[in-house]
Amino acid sequence: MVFLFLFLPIVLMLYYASPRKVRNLILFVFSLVFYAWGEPKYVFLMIASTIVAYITGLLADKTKKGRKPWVPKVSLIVAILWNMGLLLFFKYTNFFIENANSIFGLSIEKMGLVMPIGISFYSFQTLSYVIDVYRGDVKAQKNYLTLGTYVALFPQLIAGPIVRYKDVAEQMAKRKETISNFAQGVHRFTIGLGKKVILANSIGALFDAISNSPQDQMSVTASWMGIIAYTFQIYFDFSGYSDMAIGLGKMFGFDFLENFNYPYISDSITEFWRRWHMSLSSWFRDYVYIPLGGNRKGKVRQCVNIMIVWFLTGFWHGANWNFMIWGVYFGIILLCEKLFLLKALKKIPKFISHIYALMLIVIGWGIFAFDDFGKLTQNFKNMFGLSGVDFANHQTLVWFTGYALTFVILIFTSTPLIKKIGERLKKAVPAVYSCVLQPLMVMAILLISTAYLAGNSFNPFLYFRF
Amino acid sequence: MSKKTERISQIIMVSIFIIFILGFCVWTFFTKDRQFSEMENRNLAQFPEFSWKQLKEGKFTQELESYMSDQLPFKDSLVTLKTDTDRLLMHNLQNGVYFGSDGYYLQNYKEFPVQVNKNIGYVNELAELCKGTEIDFMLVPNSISVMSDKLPSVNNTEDQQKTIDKIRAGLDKSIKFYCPMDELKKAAADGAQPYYKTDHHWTSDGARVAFDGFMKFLGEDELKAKYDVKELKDFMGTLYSKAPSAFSAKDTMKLYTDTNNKLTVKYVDQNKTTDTLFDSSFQDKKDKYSTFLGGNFPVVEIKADNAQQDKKVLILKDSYANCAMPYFTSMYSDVTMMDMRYYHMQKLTVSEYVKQNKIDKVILLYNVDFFNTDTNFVEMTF
Repeated sequence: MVFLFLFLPIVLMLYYASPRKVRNLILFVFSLVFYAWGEPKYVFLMIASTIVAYITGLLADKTKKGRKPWVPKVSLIVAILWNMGLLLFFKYTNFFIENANSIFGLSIEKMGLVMPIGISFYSFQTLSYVIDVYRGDVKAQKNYLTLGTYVALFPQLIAGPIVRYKDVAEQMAKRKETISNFAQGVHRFTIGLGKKVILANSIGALFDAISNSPQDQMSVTASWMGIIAYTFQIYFDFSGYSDMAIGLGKMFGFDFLENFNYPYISDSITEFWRRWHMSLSSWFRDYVYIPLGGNRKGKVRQCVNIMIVWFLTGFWHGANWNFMIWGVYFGIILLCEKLFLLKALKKIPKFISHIYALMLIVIGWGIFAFDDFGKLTQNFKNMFGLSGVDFANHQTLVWFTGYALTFVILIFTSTPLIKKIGERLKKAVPAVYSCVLQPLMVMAILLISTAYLAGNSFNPFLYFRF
Repeated sequence: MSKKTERISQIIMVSIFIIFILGFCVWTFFTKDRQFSEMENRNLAQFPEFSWKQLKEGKFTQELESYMSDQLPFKDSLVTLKTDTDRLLMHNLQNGVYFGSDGYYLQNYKEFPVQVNKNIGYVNELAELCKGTEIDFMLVPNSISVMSDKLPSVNNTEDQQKTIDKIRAGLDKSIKFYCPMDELKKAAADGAQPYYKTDHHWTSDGARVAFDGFMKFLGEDELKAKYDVKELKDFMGTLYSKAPSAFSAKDTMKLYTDTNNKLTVKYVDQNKTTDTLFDSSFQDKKDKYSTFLGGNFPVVEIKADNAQQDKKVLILKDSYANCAMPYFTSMYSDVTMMDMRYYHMQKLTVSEYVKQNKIDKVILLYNVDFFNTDTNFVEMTF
């Protein structure tokens, strides 16, 4: 609420009231304020990270004359070590300590580390910048402020997408803010807000209810319902954030690449990963898979490479075993698809391959959703009826009737159907659509989202109830 | 589409957004702040004081968050919009309240066996301490069990009858236990309204039905008093506050006065004496139910000059008892109400009070939800 009704109006006003030259400065300063809002001390870590990227970036430029040939290489290595070191230290130390303790029977004390918000995202961004400079794909940025703005840019700071420097390099220096862009941005941001606040949070409540309910209330159907709820929650949450980031970017004249493209309409897992969190999968493709040799060094090497990439992808999502299993799980499926399954899938009817993909996706989220191993296995036992729970019970019916309509809405909104209807309408009645219908929709979503935000902070104090 | 309409549509979009976020911003910060929310029944966060220390500890930002969410313009209407959107999505249970048919809000019930067993134990202990004095217990079911036909067909509320049977079985045999379930159900079936639609309490009419049943059960004479009725309209109770819907019905509250019976109502700890069971200062507030005796107090002693029986009665109670007082005071000449939530660390324990004041009988009047959750019954045993 502070973001929507205080931060954003102030930034927008100052941004548009000031001359072009200082607009990056405004974005930079307010991005730091945004970052510092929840956790002030880690701002300095981010600034330090940017300084490292700035210096190593300048030195990694191979085209510069009169430079010793080892300099770029060393600075690239420094950048890699710095970023990976940060990630390992802040994100994974406790995980390693925990496992070392349990494996070797040690009792090293865990460190009281709180993971800095967004560190996984900005580490990958600064790293991609230095690598791109080293490869000569992009020129090193001589202006610290410009680079700092790129790293800290608040729309994408916390939950992505992972914007690559080479995609926005030109926009950083000179971009054109237009009404058309702003209007698109409003539309996009509002959709993202609605996805997150209305849809993701609603269905998230069902997942919470089911995953926190005692074992004797569970059933096979309920555990599937729970994990399908999670499937929707994570999509609408994450893609909602991405939409908001892209929309906000547009308001400030940026064009970020898309991050999601209706992943749940995929007919194979290969296709799914081309539609889901695209900025992450392409990052791993460009900076891990291809440097490892990709598919150019023979089938065996390719298989190894795929497994490495997917293990890392899983691990990137969090310091826990279940994320690694989740990564490896998709690695194996993708490998199978690459080797033979994809050909087979093409031959069978579309809806069967669609069901195949959805099943594997949902089961994947079943691994992803629980970082407690006991809960994870319990849930899978429930899903496949191995724990002796009923197929369905009264509680299942209660959950189902409460959320059936929500599920229907979620199914529709995760397909391009609404977009297509919009395009139809735009063709049929262009003026009505764009001057009346679309604004009305935006207004409705804004209002209802605000209502949901208000509802979350609405806590009647009814202690002296009786 | 022509360039011009495109431009117009873009300008509309941009203006909607700017007006929306700027409007809420300006409205929040430049209008007078509310101190208290009647809807939420609590004080609202005020603008936080700024200091570098507060900022460093992250307190300032936190308090600013609560300030903005508490002072959000049109907050009550927005929450109503959320409730109704959720209802549209078929979420029948919100904030622990079911949307029943005919406009009834029904508070969900779930038994807490540990607390119930403890409370049974405390009541038995009290009976032991007050041996020789008659102890009667009226346990009132809540609307969710009496009006269960109003519930959505698919629900997972628990049956209060089970709890009631458990309490009946667990109580010492010397305690005369009565539950007006059947009487209240019959009244509802006959078209009376024993419970409010929007509040968790019973109505004065519901209390009357139960009172009559209780007297019959105890073998007392029928209540003969004649009452004047005053109606308070537009009552929206606590259950409405929990899930405010724009389509909620409003309740009417009835105040019964026995005109031939002069009362002296003494709020002992407050040093206040009045001659009425009603505190009219609550009539125009949202919390209308507090019109009955002005809410809950540790000890209220009521003397009636024209009661049917010349008896000293101690009522240990929750707020359900408040609207039943017109009937009790017409029946008994000396009625003391004691609320264990506030009767803490007093000079006399309950049993000492009974002895010193020569109480003829002790009546316990509680509703099931309260007996199921309240943790103050232990105070009876000190």
